Amino acid sequence: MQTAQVIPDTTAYLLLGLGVTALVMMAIIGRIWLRWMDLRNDEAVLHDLDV
Amino acid sequence: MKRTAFLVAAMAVLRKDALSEARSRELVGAMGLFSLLAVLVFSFALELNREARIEAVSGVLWVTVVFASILGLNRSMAIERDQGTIEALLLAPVHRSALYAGKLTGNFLFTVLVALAVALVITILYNVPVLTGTTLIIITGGTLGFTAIGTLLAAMTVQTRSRETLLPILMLPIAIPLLLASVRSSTYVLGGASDAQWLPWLTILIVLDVIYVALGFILFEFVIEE
Amino acid sequence: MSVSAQASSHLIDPGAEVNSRPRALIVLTIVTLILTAVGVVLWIAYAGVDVMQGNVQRIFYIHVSSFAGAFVALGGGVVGGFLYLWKRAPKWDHFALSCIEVGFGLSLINLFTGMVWARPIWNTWWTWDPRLTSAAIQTLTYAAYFMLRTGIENPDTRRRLASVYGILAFSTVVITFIIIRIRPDTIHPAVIGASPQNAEGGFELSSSMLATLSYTMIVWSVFVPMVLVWWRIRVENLNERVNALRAQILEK
Repeated sequence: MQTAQVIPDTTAYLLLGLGVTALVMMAIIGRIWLRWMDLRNDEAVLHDLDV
Repeated sequence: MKRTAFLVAAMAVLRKDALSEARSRELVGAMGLFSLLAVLVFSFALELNREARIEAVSGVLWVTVVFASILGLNRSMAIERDQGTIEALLLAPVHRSALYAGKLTGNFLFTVLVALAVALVITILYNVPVLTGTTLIIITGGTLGFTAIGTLLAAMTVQTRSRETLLPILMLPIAIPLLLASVRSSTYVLGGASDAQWLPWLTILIVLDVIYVALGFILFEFVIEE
Repeated sequence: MSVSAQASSHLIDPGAEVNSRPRALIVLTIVTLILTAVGVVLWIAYAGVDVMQGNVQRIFYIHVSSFAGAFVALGGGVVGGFLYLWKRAPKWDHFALSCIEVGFGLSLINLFTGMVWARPIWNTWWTWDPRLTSAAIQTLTYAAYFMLRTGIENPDTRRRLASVYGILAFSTVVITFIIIRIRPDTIHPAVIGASPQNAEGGFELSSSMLATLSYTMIVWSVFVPMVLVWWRIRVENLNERVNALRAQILEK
């Protein structure tokens, strides 16, 4: 009665979506991490100037 | 006592704005001319003709009113900043929102005048009866909402480095629900739809007005502080 | 100068050092990473495939959850803004800013995953549908928030005005959430309750899909925002300390 439905192959889009998500997440985390490193450096420099 | 002082202060601000505007016609002039030009630009850009779609007419009306109001709001707040009236009012023992009430009323009156002029022009150009009772209510309601949120945000942007350029960026997203309700109700009424169609949108418009005015009153004192 | 003469004496003491080994946060981060990884496995291996849409449907787990996460984070921005206006302690503005940054990122994920889903299902990357338009407005509104912050030099003024705008901006999030009920002409499918009449691309949720969705939503609206916001706040605290140190040295 019911012929087997062909499931469309949209896997490429899934991977694209997951990739974009990963990209944005890494951007968020990356910004936090880079800023942290910069500020830690600044803090160390200022500490040396102080001492 | 406090309530009278509030009204007195608000009226003082309104009178000052109304008198200076009557003399110079600076705000209404700029807003009016801009609006006429905007309607013309829309006509060319959207290729509107006598058989213009009702949706297009409604959209042109409201986009023009919103951008004209932004012009007026920027100038109106800049005047306050230049004349130092903000500092003066902060010294007076009156609630900060009195300044908001005064500015809002002034801005609202000027903008609604311009909106009516735009409606008249649109009636003539596109043969659409915009100046009916219900449409006038919608125009008044929409303008009130835009000026309510605009006065609050203009007080904010006048304190930033980029001043006038920031107001449309901050204001347009917040004003979207209002724009939606205004355009929808206008479109329905102009298209001759039944009460059941446009009444809900007008209700939403009025509710939004209440919310925006209330928010303006509450938040204004946090925006104006020195 | 925004700092009064009395307060400047406080600048001599740059405050406590920012903790280098925040145990609780590190544990929470590791837990969240594990939960997220488990989630990805669930998306790919456990939840059933949709016969009509194929594998792209699986993106909806992160698409819906990122909106939930954005909602929570941006709501945190409202709370932070409100608390700052009340208490005037800078830490509340740090909290609000961190929340809004994270929420903005999650909104972007929501938009992009939506577009990636739309391409095969609706045959277009974008359409001016009410819900999509609202989601775009929401994202742009918070972009405006950042622009506002950049445009104010005085820190107290900046925090104050940003708090007010952060509260106002949340209205766009609420609109995106409820617009599907107000504007029935949307083609965006609904997950909770019936889809609007015109919805294209709706699908029935099997029990494994429902379980995966619930799981993902909890991870992405509780754990992920909390971890990101916490780390982000630490950066603000370190920034404060560096500024204080700098001021202290300049005073000498």
